[in-house]
Amino acid sequence: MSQSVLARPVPPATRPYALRPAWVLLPLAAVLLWVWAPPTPRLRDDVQDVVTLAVSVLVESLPFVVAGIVISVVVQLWVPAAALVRLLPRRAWARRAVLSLLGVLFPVCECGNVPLARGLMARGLSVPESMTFLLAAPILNPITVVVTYQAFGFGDGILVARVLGAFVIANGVGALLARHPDPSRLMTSQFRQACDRHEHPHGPRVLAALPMVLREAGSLLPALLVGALVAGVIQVAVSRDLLLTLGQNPVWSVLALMALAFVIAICSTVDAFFVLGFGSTFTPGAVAAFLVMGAMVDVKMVALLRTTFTTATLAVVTGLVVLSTLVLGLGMNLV
Amino acid sequence: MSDPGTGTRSDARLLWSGAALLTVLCVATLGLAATGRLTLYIHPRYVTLSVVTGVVGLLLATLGLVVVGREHGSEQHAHEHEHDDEHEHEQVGTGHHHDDVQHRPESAGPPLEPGDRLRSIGRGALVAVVAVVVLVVPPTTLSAALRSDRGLVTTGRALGDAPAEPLVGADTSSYTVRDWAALAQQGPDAVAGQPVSVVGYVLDRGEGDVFWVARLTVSCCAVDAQPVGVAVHRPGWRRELKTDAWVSVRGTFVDAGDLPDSAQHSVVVEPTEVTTVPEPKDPYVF
Repeated sequence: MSQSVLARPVPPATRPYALRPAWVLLPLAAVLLWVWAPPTPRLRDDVQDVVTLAVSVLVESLPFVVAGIVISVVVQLWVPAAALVRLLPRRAWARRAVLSLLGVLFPVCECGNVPLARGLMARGLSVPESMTFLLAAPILNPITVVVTYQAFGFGDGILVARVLGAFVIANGVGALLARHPDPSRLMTSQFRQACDRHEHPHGPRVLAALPMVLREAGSLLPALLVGALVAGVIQVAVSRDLLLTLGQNPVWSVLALMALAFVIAICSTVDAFFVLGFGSTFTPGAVAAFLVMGAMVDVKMVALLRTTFTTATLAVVTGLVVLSTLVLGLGMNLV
Repeated sequence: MSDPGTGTRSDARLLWSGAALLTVLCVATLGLAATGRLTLYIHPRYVTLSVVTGVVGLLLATLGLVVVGREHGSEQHAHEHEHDDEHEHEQVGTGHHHDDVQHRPESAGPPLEPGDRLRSIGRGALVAVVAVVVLVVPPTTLSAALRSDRGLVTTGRALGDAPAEPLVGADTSSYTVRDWAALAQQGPDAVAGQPVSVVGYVLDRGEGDVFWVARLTVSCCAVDAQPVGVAVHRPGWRRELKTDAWVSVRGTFVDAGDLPDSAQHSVVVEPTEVTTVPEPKDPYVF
């Protein structure tokens, strides 16, 4: 599920494999299947709950993923690479700092940012830069900030911790990745090859855009499915009560809500309202850790990022985010 | 590793699986919206966005398949007599099976890469499973077992904003469990003496004479569902009601200060009528 999607159409002579025109009947087949769905036996309660939770994650993220894919393809085909480079500062740290604020322009949840980041990387953005964008944008965007403010105001410093924490962690992780001797090796080989082979589209760009949308969907949707399924399974398998009994301990509460943030995989733009329900039982540091970490890495996000980055890269990034979030949460509770 | 370039098997695989998954998810979204069941998964504020996405996604997938199919057609024409690969292309069946994929024999054309067939079968299976889960399995609500694993939310803005208008003389017939829970957290002064009529499921919080009538509230999608509820004072309720059963409760809010065992609530409903009802079609509150 991690093949490239960004390569351009090439002349027909070099295309031994294409799709037969009969594939156009596919949407019709899907509609017919829905209309004439045969009755199914009732599933076991826990299996049904996994299905319900996974489908709800899917339905919820689909608009953001599709929007991200469309924006990504538009960026690749219509925005000149030179324009992108000209707009950004020259110094590496300043570039990353600006990119970490790019979420202001694209206020979508974390899953919509993945296709956008892939498009930007095909346009020459480096791995550390795109990772900084991916980690920061879900939090440093107007919707998330306003919703977090509505939920918590400036109480307990949660909003400030979330915004500053996201900026510092995203830029810190970016700076560390930039020290890698060859950051392009942090990408999967397929995605790197796709970025290297950057040809100009033949024919009208609109016609080139449509297969690119399908390829990107073929890369990202399976990852989203896996992420949604894992989120559903964990939620049914792991008792929520167990996590909630840890609420008031200054150390365990932080770890408990970080674990919840990783498995629950909800959108960064609304997680503040969700965790508000825990606000009375959990420590402020735990709530801030939930809000910072959940937006950066969770099971769904890791599955999506695996389409683009190597497993080792993701392990390092996840580790760094977990440790820095832990420091942030414990710092708020103990200092 | 397979070559990710265009015109390869892995590229064709991305194209058909991308189109198939996009189509299946968009048709499911539109179908759920058309039958008013999308809110079993997501908050109503996202319904418009989801419907627009469903239409756009379906258009993109269909037009994308047309474009890819036309390219195939022109290439087919150009290479008619060089190598007849008509039957080796990955194909869709005429029925509902999206994983109906055929493969070029290993002797013909570019060599079949190791694991290639397996990857195609895997993708086909994934598409088929997703199609069955989202198009065939009917949507339903979260089970009672899952509901009882989520802690009841009794304070904070997760309850939502309390209804703005003054209660005196207001029409409270449309107030949900969530509206009353938000009001009740303001203390006895806000609701004492108010008549109340709500539907929810019976939640046992281990209090002798008190049960809670609760519902799941969804702030984004069903993943974040959390129970909210109001306390109902009904000595001996365990003899007549089952935990998790859906009930309709009519009564009046009273100050709980006078009752024993009132640590968890400041107001309770003193019911005049508690009847079991079937689970509502829209069991969540938003």
